[in-house]
Amino acid sequence: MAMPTEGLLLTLAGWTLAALVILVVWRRSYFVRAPEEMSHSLYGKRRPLAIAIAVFVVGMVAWSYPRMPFHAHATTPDHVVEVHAFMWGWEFVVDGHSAAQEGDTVILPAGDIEFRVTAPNDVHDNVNHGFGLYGPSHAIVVQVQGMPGRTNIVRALLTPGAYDVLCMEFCGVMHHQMTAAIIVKGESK
Amino acid sequence: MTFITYPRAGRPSRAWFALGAAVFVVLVFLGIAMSLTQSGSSFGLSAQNFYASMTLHGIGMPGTLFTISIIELVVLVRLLPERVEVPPWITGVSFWLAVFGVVGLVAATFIGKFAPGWYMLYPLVFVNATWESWATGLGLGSVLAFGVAWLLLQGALLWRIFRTYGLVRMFAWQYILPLRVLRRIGGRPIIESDPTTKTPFLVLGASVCLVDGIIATLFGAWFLALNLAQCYDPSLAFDPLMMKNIVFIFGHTFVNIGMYMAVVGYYAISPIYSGRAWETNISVAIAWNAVLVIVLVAYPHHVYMDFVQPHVFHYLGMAASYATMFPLLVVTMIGGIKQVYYAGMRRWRFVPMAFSWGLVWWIIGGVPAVVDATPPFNGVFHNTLWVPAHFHTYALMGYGFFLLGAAWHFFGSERAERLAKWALWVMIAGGALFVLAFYMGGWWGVPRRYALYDAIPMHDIASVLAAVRVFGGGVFVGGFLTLMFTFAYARKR
Repeated sequence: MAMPTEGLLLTLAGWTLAALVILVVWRRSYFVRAPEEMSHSLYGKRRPLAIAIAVFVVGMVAWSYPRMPFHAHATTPDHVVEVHAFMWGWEFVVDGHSAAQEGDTVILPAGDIEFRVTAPNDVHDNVNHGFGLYGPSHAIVVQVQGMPGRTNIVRALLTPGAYDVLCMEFCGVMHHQMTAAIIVKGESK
Repeated sequence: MTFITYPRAGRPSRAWFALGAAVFVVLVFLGIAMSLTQSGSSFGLSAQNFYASMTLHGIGMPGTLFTISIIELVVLVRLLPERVEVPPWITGVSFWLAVFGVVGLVAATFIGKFAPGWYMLYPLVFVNATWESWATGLGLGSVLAFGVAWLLLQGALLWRIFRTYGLVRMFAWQYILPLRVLRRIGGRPIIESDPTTKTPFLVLGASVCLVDGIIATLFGAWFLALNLAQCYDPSLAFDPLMMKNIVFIFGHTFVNIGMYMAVVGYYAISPIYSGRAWETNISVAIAWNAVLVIVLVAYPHHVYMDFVQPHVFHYLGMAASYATMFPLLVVTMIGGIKQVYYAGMRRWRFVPMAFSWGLVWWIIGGVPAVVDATPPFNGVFHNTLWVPAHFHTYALMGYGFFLLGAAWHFFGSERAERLAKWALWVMIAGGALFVLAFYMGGWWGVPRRYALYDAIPMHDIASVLAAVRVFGGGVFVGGFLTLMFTFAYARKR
């Protein structure tokens, strides 16, 4: 669970900072200082605070930019998997052929996969869905929206194992049942 | 030091606050019923009733908080030295429109099972709808009634502020612009001894919020109008990506600017208790003019997972979401701290306590919001429980506490203050547990808007966390009902 844990840790760091500020302010609220002294003590902290936020923002932007999930990839993928989301289920097409199945479980190839996600056909017979691919540790590997009339492309490196697809956009009364079990087999090229 | 003291709010405002509190309690219980369903309890709702409840909860909660925030502004501006009065017929018509909206929406969702979610993500209303066909029309019509009420209230208020203060003063541009530019656009420079050259903060804050609020409401009306047009002529079809952008410009701006309205009340009322002025100066003027723009352009962070959207929107959404930190932390947080810093608070009164906790929870909820507004993190948190986790943090305990502080200021009594403070602590304890269970669910990748978790891989932990939310929500509503009791007690004195 790399990404969600990083997000949680970043949040916890922010909360710790906030808790420290709250404790200091709460403690100081019980004491009295002359208004000028109080203002000086407080307003003197605005500039360092603004600089700290600016540094944080620049750092986060620099960290995020290469990780943007919507960047186009220059390399050719090992396989192209078309994902069709409908009310209420999933269809997978691997390199132009319907994906093989074992019972209800869909077989997908391992390797560097390009997912092309859409909701066929148009707004008169389909709605928005969300393609959420959960890995063997139950964490989200990738997600992207499946919208009628649009194709969203996302890349993921799949290793062999059991995966799940869950719908990530509310799509009606069976939304919570719109899942698919996936087995990733084979070796990457 | 100058600060204004406010007399109590009158009877019409009491009716608004009472309607708001009653709707809020019902919607909290609906929320608890939804969590109970997700926990797998046999007392839970059917999937259809779950999604109908989700729709009512999702439209009703932001709508209630927003409406009460506008009413708070209407009450406050009436008490300014250069007073601003909204004509009583406007508030009266709006009240009955709101009542119609509530009744209509309850009928559409409870009886007609209308269940497309608050955002009615186009074309959800039209394809394989599992509810009565009349419920679509009544649902859309009820929201439209709310929209008309919001436009009337906001438009009248903004117009009256403009008539009294003029364009330059209402946005406090005389604090920012160089003298030459100021004179050219007809503004007057600030003269320390002349209050008519200054801008009371309430006027600046209200103007900023009302402009964004009106823009948001108009986008919402546009979205509803297109949907209603397709109801009338089913062969019509609109671009789902455009519709998604419209509904999120509305939804994001609406919820955020409503919260800023409640913050304006905090700025306006808090000095009465602290004795410390919280007035417009150059940094406050810049910050709030920035809020006017930032809130409007941050919405694309709801559309990060549509990679076909031009990527400039993704970057704009991220930039605006991050930019929010400057006015919030450098100006409002420092200003809020000043209200209590070295202030010799031997005894915290209810109003500053509710306001201070409101500020705290606003910031606590803001941290995971900024994390989620970062596209790489959005890839794992989008539409998971991380999202309701953060917005419940600042809706229940940020937005909610700002409004409760104001309500206590208008209608509370010192006699019942001890009990009210205890009730607030109970709400904090229950609310914290409630949102913590949401955050853990988000970390585990549990998707949001699921009536049941039996088909997902992490169903065990998801159901347990839902049961924790039932408990936390129950404690929270216990605190809230106690607080409502203290208001009734205060009335009897």
